[in-house]
Amino acid sequence: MFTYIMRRFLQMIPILILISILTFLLLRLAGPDPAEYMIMANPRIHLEDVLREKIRLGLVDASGKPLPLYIQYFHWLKQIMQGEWGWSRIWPSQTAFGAITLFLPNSLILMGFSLLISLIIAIPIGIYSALKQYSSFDYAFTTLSFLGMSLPTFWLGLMSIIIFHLIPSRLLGFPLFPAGDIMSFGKPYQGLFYDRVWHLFLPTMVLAIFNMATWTRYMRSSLLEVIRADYVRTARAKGLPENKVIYKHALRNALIPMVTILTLSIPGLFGGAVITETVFAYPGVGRMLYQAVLGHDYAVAMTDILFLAVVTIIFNLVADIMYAVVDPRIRYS
Amino acid sequence: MAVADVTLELAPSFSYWQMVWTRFRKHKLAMFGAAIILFMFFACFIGYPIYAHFTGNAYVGQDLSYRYQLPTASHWFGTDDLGRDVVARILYGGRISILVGFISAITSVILGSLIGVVSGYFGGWIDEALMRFTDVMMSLPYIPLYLVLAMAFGPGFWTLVGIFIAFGWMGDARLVRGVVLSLKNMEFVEAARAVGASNWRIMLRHLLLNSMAPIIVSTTLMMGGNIVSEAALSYLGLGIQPPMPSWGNILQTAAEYIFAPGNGPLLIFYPGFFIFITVLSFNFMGDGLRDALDPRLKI
Repeated sequence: MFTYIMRRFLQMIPILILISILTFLLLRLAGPDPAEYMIMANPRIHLEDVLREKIRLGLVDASGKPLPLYIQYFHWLKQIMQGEWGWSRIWPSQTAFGAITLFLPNSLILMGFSLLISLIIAIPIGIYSALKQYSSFDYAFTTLSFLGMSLPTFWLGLMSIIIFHLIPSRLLGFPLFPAGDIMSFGKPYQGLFYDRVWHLFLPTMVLAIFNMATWTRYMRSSLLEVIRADYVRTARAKGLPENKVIYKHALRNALIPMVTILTLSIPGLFGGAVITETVFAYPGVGRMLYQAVLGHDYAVAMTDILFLAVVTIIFNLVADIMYAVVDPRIRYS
Repeated sequence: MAVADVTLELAPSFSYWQMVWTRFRKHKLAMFGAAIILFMFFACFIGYPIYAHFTGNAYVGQDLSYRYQLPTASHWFGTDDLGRDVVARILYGGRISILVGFISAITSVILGSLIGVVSGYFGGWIDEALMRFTDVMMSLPYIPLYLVLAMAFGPGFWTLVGIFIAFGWMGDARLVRGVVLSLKNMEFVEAARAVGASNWRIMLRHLLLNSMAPIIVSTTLMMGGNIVSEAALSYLGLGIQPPMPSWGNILQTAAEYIFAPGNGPLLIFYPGFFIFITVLSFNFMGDGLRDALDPRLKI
């Protein structure tokens, strides 16, 4: 097991290098070099300052001759290794790493809540649908989960803004839920907690619906498969009460694949956050990436993508390990 | 002794595709999905010119004195922020959205199947190299990379199609490789080799044709998925660029004017609803096809 984990960790390195090369090249191709923006932002800047900045960023050599791309890449990689993430262009006086630590807690809160809500709702519904297979409840929720899986998140988000913010504020004069952001402007401090929960409600629900729909289906099919297994028949045959058969023998085994599916969905949540957070103007890492890419903030975009890549790879690994932990029949070597 | 007249009662025989059709027809939701997809296809590709001809509403015709008009007899869905007819824009935009979905799904499935069949059939270092590459591609955070790629290559129709192909083939490659691995040592492959069939013939005619069932299902699901991805990227302003409409960028423009009076909120509803219904239909159809093509299939 330990050697397996170590091997997987070593395999992460080439993937990370590949991603860093890919994003570096793409971002450099995407527009003029970062120093040009200094000139755009401040027309009275001295050319010596621009040159100094270009040398610092590793774009040109000391005489002002542009360096080839691969040398630029190694220069950048060296700086990253030394913990110099570069300064953000659109979040003044923030390093790229500082910008991530600034926005990450917001994203984690949003994802944590939506994961929790979708689990609390999806697992009981999945279990009940499986136990009452082909009942009207089962049909209703199978159809509903199809609807939920096909709903585009950004549209659902916009429609929820219309239904819970726009229409109530036009008809009643006040919104039921805010249209975005994480707290109201100029609220007194003691109301902060409720204010934040109030702002979290819509994005959390929108983010939760897709996972809810998928997990209900997975839970249902996973339990259905287990219920037909021999050991469940044995449990029934030896006269155990139905309750015990389901919750002790069947459900525990049915939850094994759920652990993997849950872990694997976390990188997807981070990626999908780009869209949900943009719709609700929610200041998290996803919207930050979007703003950084559009605003040519290379340092932040690079750091954010590397961060998301690490998250994706680590959770892929965690999923594999969890699989072995919850199911002793699986052994890695 | 004369041989007695024996009449054999033969059950009517059906070809594979007849059986598939019989099973598919029973799946009501899948039939509903197929009908909606056909309708969308005809409405967008044939319906749009007819609609534009008879009502005089083209997708580009602006009329700034008729902005945000609520639905009327001449503009069924009302007008948008530049006074353009929304029905015409939805129909024309549907062409772009559906085309992105079709072209990218079909191409990435072809690419993925070829990689999968080559990898499974030849095995050895080819298999090892291709599968490691597939693993790497699958562990990339794809939505963030979509943004960067769209930015680097300049957002547009072919950039979108290219991105979806580049990140869409991995699932099919693994799927087809799995089928090929389970089939390549069977007698019919050996027989084909014995009569002198070339490697390519065996791969294309025998192995690939036998993995058609999962390929068709995954193509269907991918078409729906790519239509949503197109809309998501266009919604972020990195997909199809105005003035060319697509369901995603109609939604993007509408979202900017969400608080506009009159037709403002409805402008959000229409394009998203069409995306939703189309994707839902593809998902229903995929589900029905999965049951119809191979009842034991699990993907």
